[in-house]
Amino acid sequence: MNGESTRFSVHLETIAADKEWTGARLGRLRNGDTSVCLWTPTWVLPTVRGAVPAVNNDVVREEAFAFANRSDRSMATEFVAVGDGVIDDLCGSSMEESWRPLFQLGLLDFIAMKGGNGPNGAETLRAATSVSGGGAREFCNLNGLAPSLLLSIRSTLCPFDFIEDDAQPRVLQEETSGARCLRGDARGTRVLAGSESVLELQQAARCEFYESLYEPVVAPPHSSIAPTRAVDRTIHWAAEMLRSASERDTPGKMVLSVTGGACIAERQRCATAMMQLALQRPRQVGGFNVVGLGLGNESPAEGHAAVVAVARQVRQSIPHLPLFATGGGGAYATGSPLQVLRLIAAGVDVVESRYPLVLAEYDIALDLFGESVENGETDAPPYSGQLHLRSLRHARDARPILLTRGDTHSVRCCTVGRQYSRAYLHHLLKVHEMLGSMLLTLHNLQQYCAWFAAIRHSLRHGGFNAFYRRVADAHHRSLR
Amino acid sequence: MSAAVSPTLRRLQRKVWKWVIDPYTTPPPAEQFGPYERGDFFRFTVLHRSRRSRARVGQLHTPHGVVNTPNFVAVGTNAALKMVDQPRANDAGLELMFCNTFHLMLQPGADVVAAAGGLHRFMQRDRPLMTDSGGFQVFSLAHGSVYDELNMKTRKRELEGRLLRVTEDGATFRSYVDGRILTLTPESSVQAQKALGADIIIPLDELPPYHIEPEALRRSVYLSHRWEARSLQEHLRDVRQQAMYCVVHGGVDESLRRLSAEYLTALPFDGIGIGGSLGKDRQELIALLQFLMPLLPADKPNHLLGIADMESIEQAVPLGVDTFDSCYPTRLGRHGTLLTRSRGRVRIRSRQWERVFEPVDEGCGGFVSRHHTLAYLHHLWRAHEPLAAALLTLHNIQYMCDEMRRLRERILDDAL
Repeated sequence: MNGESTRFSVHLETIAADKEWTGARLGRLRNGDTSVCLWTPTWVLPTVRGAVPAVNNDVVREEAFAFANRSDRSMATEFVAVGDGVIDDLCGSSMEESWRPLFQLGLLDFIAMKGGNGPNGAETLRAATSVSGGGAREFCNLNGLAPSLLLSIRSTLCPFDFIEDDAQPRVLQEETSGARCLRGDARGTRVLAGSESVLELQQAARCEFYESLYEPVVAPPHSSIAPTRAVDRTIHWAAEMLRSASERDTPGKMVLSVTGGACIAERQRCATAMMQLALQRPRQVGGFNVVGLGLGNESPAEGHAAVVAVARQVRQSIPHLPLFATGGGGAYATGSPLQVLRLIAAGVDVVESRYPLVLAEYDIALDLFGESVENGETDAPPYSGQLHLRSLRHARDARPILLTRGDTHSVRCCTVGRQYSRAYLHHLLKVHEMLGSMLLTLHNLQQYCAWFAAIRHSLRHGGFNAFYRRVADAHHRSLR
Repeated sequence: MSAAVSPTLRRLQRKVWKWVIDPYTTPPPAEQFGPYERGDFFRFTVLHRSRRSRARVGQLHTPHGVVNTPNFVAVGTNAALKMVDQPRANDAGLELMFCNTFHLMLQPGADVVAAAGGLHRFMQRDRPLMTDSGGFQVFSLAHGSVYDELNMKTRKRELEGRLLRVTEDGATFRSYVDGRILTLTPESSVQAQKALGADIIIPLDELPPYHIEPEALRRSVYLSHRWEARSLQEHLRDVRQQAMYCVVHGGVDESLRRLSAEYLTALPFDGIGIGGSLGKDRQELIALLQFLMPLLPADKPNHLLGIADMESIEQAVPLGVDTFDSCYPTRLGRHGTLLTRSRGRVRIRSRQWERVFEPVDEGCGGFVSRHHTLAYLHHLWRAHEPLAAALLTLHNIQYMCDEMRRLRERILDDAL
């Protein structure tokens, strides 16, 4: 099957793999349709209607991802300085671009514009970008910001979902076409999302990647209700979408959704079917996606086992396609550092995570490298990777969030945390100035980017296991 | 240069003031302060005077940069513009920004800002800043907003217990942050502004309401003069590269305005603020300015406090007003109204913008206009996304800066 790699236009080349955590790998992902090259593991940044919450996209472009110390040659093993920038010599892209996350657009955010009748998002996007054909990227001002866009069926930031109040999805038959569709809530408008409407939106949005429609499995583990029907529908929708996408010449690459909840057998059955579909239409497929982790409240061990099973199966047959993990629920929705590392260790290449955004909403600054405590500072609380800026201890603290320069990735990426004082951020949050949330979001995004760069660095240099242990130990210490 | 009053004497004075002070007591004469000495850290240069009016183009040179005049001063009450960070504000062309001493004294405290190295370092702004004395906020504790007071809307129940008393010493009020009782005196106001470290500071004054008896207004003007003189004395003890503007009072009473202008312009202030009640409508405001502006010295900058809508600016600039501050444009923005040249006022909530895939303001070079369409802003607003408020606010700042630039160009062309 490895010989099939040349038929796929998306290709993930494994640069390094961890010896202990055999799922974890450093990869270089190229999408043949674009010039963008991404390093994996990487993350998917959820957006709300194409915007990062609390921050203008231009500010994100200029502040969050304008990495400092461009002429710093200390990272020469990975990068070379070219002109005013730093080029990732293995990627050919600028460092900023190859370190940025993918941006996620939620289907329910765009399928129906508020107040309209039925799915009309595609029509609006087409009308908005009829001249340039820029799609959602132009509509949402994401040019020069997002290296790749992912159109997701479910988004962890979207307060509305396909899962109804009784915690069950609804699959209904559409009146005109008779097609089976998922019913979702698009901010007050009930819409039916079927394979055709997803494709139509993707046709207008022109995202680099888009997910195949799937039915979320919310049955708990060991439930008497096996997710067989959900898996069958998901496979049927994927086949339908691939066929239709081929006929329409839909832009972008489909990421095939592997559902099944915590039932490993069903997950593997779904994965097998998806791999067969991928081999039938290789030029349209951009990867596989372990969707809906945590929706059935499975334990971390059960979720991890499901991911490992799917990852091994996929890697054995089609190792050069990336494995995504999006649309999670419960503990998988937030994307805490340890959870993310577990997913990467299990074999996931692209992880959806709203962690930096959620923490900013709760006035918490990330400190993933232990740089918020100075040497010899005895009255600091135990290190937890988080700084609660609402705490009174910061009311008069004129020091910035990050005090030391312990990690080169953090030094490179994190400018906001070294510029604004804790007292100023505390003051802004206390008086409910929106600028406080904005600055905090920027800082957290920079920290997260640096953290992923550090993960990749550890994989490249064989230190992933030590990295994992460090994060796990810090997590367990913080729970005591 | 300074008329020094020892702390002991001041304490005695306060004790005496409580019982025997005559509300019509004249403030210290100008001779007590000595002549104005221009410092090398602040100067105002007039580049061009229009041949058709009193309009003029000038430059304020401050320790943190140059401010072209006439200009708009955005108000960042709590040391922040609403959801607009400094780099974005700088890109929009905002040269001077206003912060409220009253709010910063209560939260986080002037000492915290001082420990951070001053307001510029605290908020990471590298351009000029201005702070007020807190007098306006003290007014609003008693009367509510200017609109409420002009329209005789009583908010007595809400405001009860906030402003406790106004005496010769200062204003005593209850903090809205933690309920503690504080007294704002001319000296403490100036000390707080010293700690904040803005480039331009304002002395403490009493802002009387529009609806006031003539004698009460006269007493208020005298009190403001005494407070401003004390503020100036406190400022001159330790100038710290800050400029202080006086605030001319007198309501809409021309004789009081003349009295105030004559006294305050004789003192060694660096600039002239036009404050107090400015009339019940724009007509009264302009009539007041027509009377007052010729009385003010031409070689010092002047500033109109609390007014910055374009309709008023366009009438006030030809009368010689240099700078204007108001939260009006930014407040309009975060409540959903865009100010544009090509379309006038745009209420973004209106459905008419749902499918208008055009820039916000044709010909505007600001990045909201460059990167976003009305349809997208409408979409964000309808979805209650905070980003909408941020973008609208930023655009309105850009609009004001662009309009002020156009006014300066018209003055240079003698077209105004």
